[in-house]
Amino acid sequence: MVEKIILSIHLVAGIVWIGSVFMGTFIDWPSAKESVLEGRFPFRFIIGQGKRVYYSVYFGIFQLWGSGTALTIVHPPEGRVEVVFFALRVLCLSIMTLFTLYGTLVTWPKIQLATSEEAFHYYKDYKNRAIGTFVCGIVGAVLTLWSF
Amino acid sequence: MKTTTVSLKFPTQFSKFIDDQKSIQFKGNRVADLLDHLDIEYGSVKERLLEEDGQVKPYINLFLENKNINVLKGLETEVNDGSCISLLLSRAGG
Repeated sequence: MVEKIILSIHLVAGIVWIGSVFMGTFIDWPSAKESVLEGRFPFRFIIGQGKRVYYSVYFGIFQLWGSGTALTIVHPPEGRVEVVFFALRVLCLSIMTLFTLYGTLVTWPKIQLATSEEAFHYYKDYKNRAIGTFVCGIVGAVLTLWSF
Repeated sequence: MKTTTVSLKFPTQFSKFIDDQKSIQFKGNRVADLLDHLDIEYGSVKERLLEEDGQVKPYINLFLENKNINVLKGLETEVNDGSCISLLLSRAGG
C-alpha cells in the first residue's frame, strides 16, 4: 500500500512536469509567436510563463527525487533488468534536472536581457533542451511503469 | 546640466553590455538620464531594459538603494551622487 502511494506521487509529479514541458514547447510557443508581429519575440508571454512555471517545476523536481528515493528504499531494484531500468530512470531524471537548472541559471536571465533577435536564438536552444526533458520524462515514466 | 555619479549592481549576464562598469558618471540626475547615458555609451541598453513605450519591462526590476523605482517615480526618479542602482531579474524556470 505504501509503495502504491509513493508510486502515485512519483507518477503524478512526473505527469505534471512532462505535461508542463509539452504545453510550453508544443502548444504555447507557436501561439505566442503568432500573437506578436513577425520578427518580434513574445517577451511578456514567454517570461510570464517562465515566472509562473518556476515553482511548479521545482516542486516537481523535489517531489520526483524524494518519492524516487522512497521508492528505492521500499522496493530496491532486484535482478539485472530492474537494476538497468533503475539506472536509466536515474539518468533520465538527472538529465531533466540539469537541463532545468541550466535554464533557470543561464537561459532565462539571458532571455530577459536579450534583444528580440538574440531571444529567438536563446529560446531555440531552450526549446531543444525542453524537448530533451520531455523525451527523458516519457522514457523515465514508461520505465517506472515497467519496473513495478 | 548637473553631473551625477552612481554605483551599479547587476547580474553577471548584464555586465558584458556595459563593459562591467560598476560606477558611472552621467549628465542629469534621473534614472532616465542614466539609461540614456548607458545607451549612448554602450548601445542597446534601453532596448534590453525598456518596452517600446519607454517603460521598464515588467520582468526587469530597477532599484534605487532598496526601493523599486516603480514605487518611486519610475524612470523620473531622482538619484544623488553616490546612490546605488541595482538591476534584478525575475526568477523564472522550466
